Amino acid sequence: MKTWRAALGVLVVIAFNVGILGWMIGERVLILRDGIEVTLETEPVDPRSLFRGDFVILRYPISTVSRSVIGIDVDVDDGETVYVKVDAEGTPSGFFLETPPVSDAPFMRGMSGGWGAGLRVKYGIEQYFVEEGTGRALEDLTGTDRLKVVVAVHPASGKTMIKALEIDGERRLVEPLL
Amino acid sequence: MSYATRVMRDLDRWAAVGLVSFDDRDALETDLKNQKPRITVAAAAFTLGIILVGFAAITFVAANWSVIPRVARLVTLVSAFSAAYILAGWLIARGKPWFGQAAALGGVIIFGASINLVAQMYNISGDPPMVALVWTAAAIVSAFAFRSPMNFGAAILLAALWGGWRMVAIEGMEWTLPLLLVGLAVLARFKGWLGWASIPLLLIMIVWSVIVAGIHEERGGLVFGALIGGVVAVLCGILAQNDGMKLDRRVWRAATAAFIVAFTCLFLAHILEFIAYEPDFLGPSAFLIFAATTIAVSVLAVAAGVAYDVPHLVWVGYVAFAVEAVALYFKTVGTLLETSAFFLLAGLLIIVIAVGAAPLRRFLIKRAKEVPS
Repeated sequence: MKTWRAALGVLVVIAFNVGILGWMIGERVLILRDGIEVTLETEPVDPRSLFRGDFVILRYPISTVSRSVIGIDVDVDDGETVYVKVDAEGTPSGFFLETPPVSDAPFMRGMSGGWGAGLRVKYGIEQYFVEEGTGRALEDLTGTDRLKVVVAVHPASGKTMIKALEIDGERRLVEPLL
Repeated sequence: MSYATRVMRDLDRWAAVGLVSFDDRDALETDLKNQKPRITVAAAAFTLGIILVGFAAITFVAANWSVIPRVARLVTLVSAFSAAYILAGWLIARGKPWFGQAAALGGVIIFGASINLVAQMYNISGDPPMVALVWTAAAIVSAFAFRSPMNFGAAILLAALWGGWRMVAIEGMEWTLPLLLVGLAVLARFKGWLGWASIPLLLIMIVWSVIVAGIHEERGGLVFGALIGGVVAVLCGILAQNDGMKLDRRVWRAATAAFIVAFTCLFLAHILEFIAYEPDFLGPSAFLIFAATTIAVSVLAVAAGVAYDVPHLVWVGYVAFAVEAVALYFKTVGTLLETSAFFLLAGLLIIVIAVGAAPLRRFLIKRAKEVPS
């Protein structure tokens, strides 16, 4: 292979890889900067976790959306993109399939994951990485009034990011933009 | 049977019927003996070394990760994969494509780790299977930029990883996967990487079998389904390429396919609890035996490929080795010391193979000469 072609290949590959990482970080910055803050209560988690100690598994009241919110005759397949409108208390108050709603109230984008007591929805905020060995202590607080999660919800896309953890009403582990 | 052995058999036959003189035959034999093999032990060891060093570096950084500032971490990651790609370009430009492809593969592995580590340090959970899809795209771009069938093979495996992960996440069928694999097969054909065309076929069948078995939620059925699907795929792969090739080449393709099936079954068997979300399916000793066997099978595939000069078997062995290493890394997160010990043992095993491959090759060639057909 000629030198110029090899050099071009190197540049293209590095640019592509850096672009992907930049896109990941940039989208997060946008959501944290422009997102609407919603504080969510947590629920107890299934103690079986794949990894140990280095992240907390989180569940929320909005992780299960009841049939009364979705609508009796709405059919939702696994893996579908859904939008859940949340009220000030962080509970689901509206449900939309595939297309984001036009709404002043924040709505969160998630992926449906089967039916249980209601429709299970994942929003991409179900894990929070912490320093190794500190995850278990935080996980023990889930499902109590002591631990709440502050998330930023992008007003246009509904994509969410964890912004901070609230322990006993005090904001801890606040995420910096970069 | 190696290329040199085949040529010598033909030369003996041609000399016997007078098509070439015995002097020419002897001159050609001397030239063949002096010719360096296409795949050298050093190149094979270099590739495996790259894979191990990559994982060892990741393990080391992971152990000290939390004390490094975020920006420094990001710079470290970008520098690491950029250095691997620059090394790849430099080696390829210097006429060492095999070493260059190995370095490019190292870059792809480091990039995959970078996506996960960036997601971790910025708390981006998002859609986890999407990570594998983005990684696949990076491997494809790298394969085309460096004209690397090795990275293309990695892309195919990553696509299969994405499909499996996605189907576990949505508990249903992901129709894009077969389409993606067929697309990759077409690309392989278009680029002249024909040998790789059988692998997408294989994976389609294996993934389909896993889905079918997975529907019935029987773990034994999962592995058995993969085995049956793999055997069918071996036949498909051979028939798809039955275009007048000599039998020995087809036998080696079948051996490569059989290795993939064996690897997949072993992999599913001991990583199964990950797929089924059921802990303690295997006890610690059974897990270690499965892991050691899977690693040994992968290294043997590389060794056989080197000994018999079969490049695609070597490449598949590398990829299998890397996949198993990644899986074991994730399985032992939280016990970094054990992970380091694993990489140390794997490294020692490779040194033994690297030292033993050259005499084995010489022995096999000598034996083939002594027993003419």
